[in-house]
Amino acid sequence: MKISVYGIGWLSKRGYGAVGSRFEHHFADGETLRTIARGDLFSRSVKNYGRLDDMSRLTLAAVSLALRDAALDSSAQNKQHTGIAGAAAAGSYATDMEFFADYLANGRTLSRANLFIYTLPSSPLGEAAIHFGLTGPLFYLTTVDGSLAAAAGMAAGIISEKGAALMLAGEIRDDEALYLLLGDGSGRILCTMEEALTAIAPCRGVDNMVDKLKLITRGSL
Amino acid sequence: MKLRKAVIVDSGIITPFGNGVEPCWRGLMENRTAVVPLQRFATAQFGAAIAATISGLEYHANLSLVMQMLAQLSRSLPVPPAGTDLLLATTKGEIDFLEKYLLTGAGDPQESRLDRLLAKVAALFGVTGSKAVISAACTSSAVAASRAAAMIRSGESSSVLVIACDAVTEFIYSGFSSLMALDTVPARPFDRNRKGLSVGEAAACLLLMSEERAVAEGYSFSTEIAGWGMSDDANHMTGPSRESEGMVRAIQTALKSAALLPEDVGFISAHGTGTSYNDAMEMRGFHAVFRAAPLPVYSIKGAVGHTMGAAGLLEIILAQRALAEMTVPLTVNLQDPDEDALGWASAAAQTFAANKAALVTNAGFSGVNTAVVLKRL
Repeated sequence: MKISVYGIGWLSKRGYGAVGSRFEHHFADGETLRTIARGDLFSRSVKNYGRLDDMSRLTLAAVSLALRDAALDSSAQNKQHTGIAGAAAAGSYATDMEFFADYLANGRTLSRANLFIYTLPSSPLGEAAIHFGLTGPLFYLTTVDGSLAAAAGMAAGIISEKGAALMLAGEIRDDEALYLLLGDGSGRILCTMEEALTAIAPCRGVDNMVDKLKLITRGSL
Repeated sequence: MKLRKAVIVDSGIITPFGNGVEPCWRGLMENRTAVVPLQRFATAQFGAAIAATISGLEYHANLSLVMQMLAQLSRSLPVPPAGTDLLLATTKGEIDFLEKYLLTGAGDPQESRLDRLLAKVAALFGVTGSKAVISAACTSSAVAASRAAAMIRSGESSSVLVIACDAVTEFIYSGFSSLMALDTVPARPFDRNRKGLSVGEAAACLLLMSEERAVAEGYSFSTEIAGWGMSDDANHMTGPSRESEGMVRAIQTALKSAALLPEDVGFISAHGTGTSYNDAMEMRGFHAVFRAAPLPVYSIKGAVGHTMGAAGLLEIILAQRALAEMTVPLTVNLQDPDEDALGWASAAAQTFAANKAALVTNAGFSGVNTAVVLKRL
């Protein structure tokens, strides 16, 4: 089965966007993911967004952009059989540090349950599943290198065995995110998964990947 | 089309009962619990003071707790054949390195990262193929076993080593305590009076191979991972769905993947944490799928505690033993089955009809659910 890319959402230090719909927002001076208007990223407000860790924010934003790129209306009320395989080399390391340091600062007596939840590397994916109503397989993975390709490969396997109709596969690295919405090739596609992964394999950084993906999806590479 | 079979050619576990399947199986069958007063760190500040830990492990030593477990486990498993791929499942891996750094300033907290653990585990077990960590809360190793079987069925791999591990640390214990998830007495899955889970630790490994390669290379085998299903409730970060629709979908997907009907299942190894909501969610799901008649259901978590990322693989390996013995273990600490578990879970060992399959279910934070089907060959 040939696996296709339906949507591509990205965030970098430069801004964020969606490749297929040619939507891009470039950060103004002083603007960051934490300060931008969320209406650009989400059609509905995200519960407790302000209290989420950075990995969860990045995951939610990239998934939102990838789904919108494929014109998919997903929500907690309108659940769909889409799964998510997310990679991040650092995993939950930042939250792990914050959680245990906070516990020590409290005299080793009390820890914060709300922080503990996000010490699971799969929790940012769980936030995305809840907000967008994703009821397919959900798991985090990481490899020594090339985690996006590994995530996409496993996602493709799940689609092929009909474990989900669609799969989101992505990676967060160095505060940048790229998510692909993958399917079995029916409907409007941007490119094949193989084309996308081949194009971005030599790239360093999301901006470079997005430039390559623009060329691929617009037939210039 | 004839599907490639993913057969189990080797396995190993280390649990609070000791090294190997035999001591753990004996513990289950003798209605013993390894959940005892916790000595590893102070517990006066927590809602509970018990856990199931492996004796002889050194806390905050040069080797992490999970690497100490895996070093023991690796000695009982031959080096996997050339080209074997590795899927490593865990939730918190070597989090004791981060604890040690923040408590004493010693060591490198980055050593707690899962990508670093992956490299160490691959070297320890001598794996030469591709390598990945999979983490999906308490379904981590069930997901890894499922993906390993899928890699074999699709022809992507002919040999996959699945390794799972998690340890009892102050980090984890304080977190579960803050969630008020811990029972003060050893967990009582499916019991009317259950009050929460007990934390446990374990490591497990499973070598899966395509039937063709196993035969060609002279491995003996008796069980296949015949089907699998994964789903998410998309409902709540820590609580399972009140409708159980995610668990039902995972079971139905697994049965379809195995080309089996509900009546082909002989027994269920449940996640059975001992928390009120999880056990009720699972039983609702079992009632929905297996409507014709109750099936024998058991949980091992009253005996070895909730071993987190290792739970799924540990339970698959013990379900393989149950298939071989034609005996369903009792549920340790079950005294007064909840109404929904009457006729399903039992304080005595049960039997099942020959030629039936085993179903292993798991669930976890973020609403994840898994179901894995094992079949005797």
